[in-house]
Amino acid sequence: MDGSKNAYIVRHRLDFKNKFTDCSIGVMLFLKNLSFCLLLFFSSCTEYIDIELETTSKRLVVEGMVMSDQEYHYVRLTQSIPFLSDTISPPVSGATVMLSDGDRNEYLSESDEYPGYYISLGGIVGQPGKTYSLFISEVDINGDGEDEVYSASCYMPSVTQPDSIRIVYDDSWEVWKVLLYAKDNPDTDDYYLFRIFKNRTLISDRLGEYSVVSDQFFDGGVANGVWVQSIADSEDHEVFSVGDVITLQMCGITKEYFEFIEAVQEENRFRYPLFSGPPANAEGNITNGGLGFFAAFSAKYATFEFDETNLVK
Amino acid sequence: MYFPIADVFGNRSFQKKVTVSGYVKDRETGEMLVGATIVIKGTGKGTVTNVYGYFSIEIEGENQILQFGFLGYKNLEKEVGESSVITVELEPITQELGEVKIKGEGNVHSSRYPLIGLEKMESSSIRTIPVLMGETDPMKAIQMLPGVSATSEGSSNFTVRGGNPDQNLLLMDEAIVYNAGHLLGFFSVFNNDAVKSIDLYKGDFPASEGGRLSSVLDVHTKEGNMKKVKGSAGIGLISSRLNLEGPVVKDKSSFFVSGRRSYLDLFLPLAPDEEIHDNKLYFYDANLKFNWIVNEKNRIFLSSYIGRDVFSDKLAQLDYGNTTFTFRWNHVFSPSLFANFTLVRSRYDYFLGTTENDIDDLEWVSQFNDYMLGADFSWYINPSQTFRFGNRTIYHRIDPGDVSAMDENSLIQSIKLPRNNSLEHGIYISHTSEVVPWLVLRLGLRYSLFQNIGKGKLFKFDDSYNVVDTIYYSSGEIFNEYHGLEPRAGVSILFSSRWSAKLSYSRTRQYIQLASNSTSSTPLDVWFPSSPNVKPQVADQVSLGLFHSSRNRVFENSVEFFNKWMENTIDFKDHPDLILNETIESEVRQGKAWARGFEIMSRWNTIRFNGWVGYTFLKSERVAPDINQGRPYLSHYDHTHDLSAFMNYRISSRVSVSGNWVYYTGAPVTMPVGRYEVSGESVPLYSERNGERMPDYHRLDLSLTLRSKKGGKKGGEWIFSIYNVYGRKNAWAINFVSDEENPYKIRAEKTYLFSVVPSVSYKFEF
Repeated sequence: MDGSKNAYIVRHRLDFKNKFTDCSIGVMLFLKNLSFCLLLFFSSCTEYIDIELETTSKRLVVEGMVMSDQEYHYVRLTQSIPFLSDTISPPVSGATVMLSDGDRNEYLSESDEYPGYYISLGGIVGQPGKTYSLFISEVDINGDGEDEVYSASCYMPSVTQPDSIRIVYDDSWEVWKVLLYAKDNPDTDDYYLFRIFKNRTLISDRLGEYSVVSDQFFDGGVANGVWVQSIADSEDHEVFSVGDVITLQMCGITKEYFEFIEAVQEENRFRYPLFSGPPANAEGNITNGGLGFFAAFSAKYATFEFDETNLVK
Repeated sequence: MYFPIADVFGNRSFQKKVTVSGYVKDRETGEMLVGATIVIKGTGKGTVTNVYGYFSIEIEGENQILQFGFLGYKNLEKEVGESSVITVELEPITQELGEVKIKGEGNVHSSRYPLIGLEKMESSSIRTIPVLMGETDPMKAIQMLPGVSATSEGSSNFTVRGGNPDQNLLLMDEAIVYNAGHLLGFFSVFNNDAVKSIDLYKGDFPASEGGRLSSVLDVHTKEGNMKKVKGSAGIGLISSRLNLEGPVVKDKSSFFVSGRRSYLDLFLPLAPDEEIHDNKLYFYDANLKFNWIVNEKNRIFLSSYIGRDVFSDKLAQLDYGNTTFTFRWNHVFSPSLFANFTLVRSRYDYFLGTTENDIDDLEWVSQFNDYMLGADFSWYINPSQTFRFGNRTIYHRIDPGDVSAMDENSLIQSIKLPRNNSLEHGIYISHTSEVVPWLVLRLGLRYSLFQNIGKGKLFKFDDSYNVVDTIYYSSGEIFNEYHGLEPRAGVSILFSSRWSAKLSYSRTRQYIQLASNSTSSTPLDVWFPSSPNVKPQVADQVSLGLFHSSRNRVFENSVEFFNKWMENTIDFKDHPDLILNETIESEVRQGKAWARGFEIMSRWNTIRFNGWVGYTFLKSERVAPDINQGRPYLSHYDHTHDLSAFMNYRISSRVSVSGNWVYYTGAPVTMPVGRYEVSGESVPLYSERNGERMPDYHRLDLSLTLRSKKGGKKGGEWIFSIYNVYGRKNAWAINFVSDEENPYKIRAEKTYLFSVVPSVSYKFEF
């Protein structure tokens, strides 16, 4: 195998910054135990406090995806809200949204059922190697009576077909590990996003459940059982049953999107002075002060079916 | 004030001159006294002993009387006629009430010594300060001084005048200590039982030292009793300690051994969670020292420190620690030329491994090795003039990270970040002269040279910090150099015997820094040096101090203004990747920083009462590209107001109480100003880095010391202390969590580490 795996595991397991701060996953038992011992001794406690935060002016939030081999794409527009607000982000309706692949343009139409969602009708099919652009106009987020214009563009990298995946249970970390067998181009810097489907249903649907990996962990272009995703064990230890089909979606993404996902994940962890640097904004790719990300990515799949033998922990 | 006119016209130069030199020692233990004063009676002229207890003074005229003094010791007068080498032993004043008054008579000379921003602390006074868990810690004592504060609650790490913790040079017997924390930084590697004294320079650095922008913390350890074998032991909540010292050959050589080990882990089997019963969680350290007076002209010191922290559980093990070794040779070339030669090895390393007994088990090792060679000369021309000069050369060898499989059959290959080699040289000369009796001038010049040497790997980055080229250098090849002058200057003016003013300027350069952007370092942080991609940090500081003491020297007051400008200061881009990253230099953003403010200190010292009140006003700002959109932002250590008060009251010769109160403005932090949702995840939106503040910090600690009947010198001593007496819940961290009932509702939650923490410790001598 290669140095990639081990660096990845080191990062996966022992990186203080990622693991100490992410108690909820339960994969940093070591540091949790250590901190437990210390904090038990130090009688540390938590308590709600009231603090007042300043509020910035409203900003447009864009969440858009163009995927390879897909005809239908969506863009969701919302507004940012005060940090301590207990409302949900209000949708932005009535905007003009145009998608372009450099050759063709298509106006997206807003869904009647879900305000703020703008859907394409098949005019543009996602194709690796193309750069996609998004243009948003006729919105007035800051309420000054004048419309604002936003845009974003993203290159769609290609991705190779993974050879296979394997799923094994890890006692120590109490998770099912998804191991990847694949090759990639050793001459390019590639970034991957991994999502999991269980029986055709996406189970890693929240950004916090995405797993992103850079190919510096596929040394020499070979991934020989690299741990790329995890499925948490449930309370009753019966997450899977015979016949369950697990599909790994392997997506080729840009470095910018990779960094955006890492940043969002880091911003959602607990912070402690020992391990955390200063918080910072997740840098998106929307112009004119817009937030969020317009991502283009290509996807390939590999599946794994549980039978009696591999269900054993 | 007395002005000897004759001096001004040099009339006395016709008189006979004699040179008296030698050492000043403690009569009971034979320990050298550092900073003892020697004054020619009736002239006000004098000198002080250097860090090895050596002095040399030229006297004009015959049968003059020399007065020797040191705080806490009886003064001694000695008539000298001929040039001679003498050893003077001063008798300590026993701390019995009603005996001799403790007065700083010896300090006549000290107000003239033009160093500002210098704080001295003795091990014995550090012990009276109440501390967390009763674990006496010199690093926590200095946090009580103006201009100095802890980096976060309970941490032994400190920041000086808003600077980063890695801008402090920590020296233990001249060996640089690279990670001074035990137990994730809550306790320091400096065992107070082994410490003799500490000097903290935060303004005017001595020309001999350099390499850091904020401060120099110079820790001297005990040499060992030259007269008789003595021991002491201590038991506290965190650790127990054992010390043994004594002569090898009486009055010729001595040893000092001190060890301590924590025993927190002994309580783990009592924890409710069975999984942690077999965990390891402890630290130990040992200070070893040997010193040998070869003859009047030669003296040799060997000292060593070994310390380690060990944590493990069923998944992983982490251990880390420092090892230092110092060899020093004092040589007196002539009574007026004193020299010291130093050889140091200092090492910090950590080991991180999995303990699952799996084929994929890994070990991760990082090492930092330092080798230093130095020479320092003091040339005492006459009581009014001293030259000091010397050099230092340090070889830094850094292995930032090496991850490999523990099992031979493992398919995992090692990854190894390339070794980094560099040399740091410094030569210096400084001159102290008493131009006229009311004006003392200290001029220093240091020249530093930094070299990156092969074998090495250098990355070239484009404007977006992407690697565009990689260059390899062969072993021994010097591929990059930085150098520069570091002028230091100080002037002291004595208005009267009670009022003086000091003005100083210093420039310092820093060539090595810590890759950490958290507010408190972790054991896994690695140091990285300047390189073609990382310019050296430079600081210029100007300070002005005004000093006053009451007639009987019971009160000493000072106010000091400082202004500091720094260039090429190190910060890291947002969301940096600092662990096991070969191209860590691409995460660095260098900018500028400023700090200005003033410090007020008032000390008092009577038989029953001693203590101080220190206040600091500080403004510390930075600016760096890509951070905070290129706009200036406050340092995380910018505590606008910082007040520390300490008081010790001796109720009787056996009972004393101490208390301290600390207050500072909450540290600047970045708080969200909005939030938004992307792919099912709520993302905070920030406006300004460090634009908000944590709640203000304050805390009161008390302690009660009971000594056994034999008194303080021999026998037992109990210390009962309470940390955070009124249970202030100082916020250590603020996090935002969803309300359990309404997930859309976000609430602020603070984590505090310590409420009221009582502790007891016992120490006895044998």
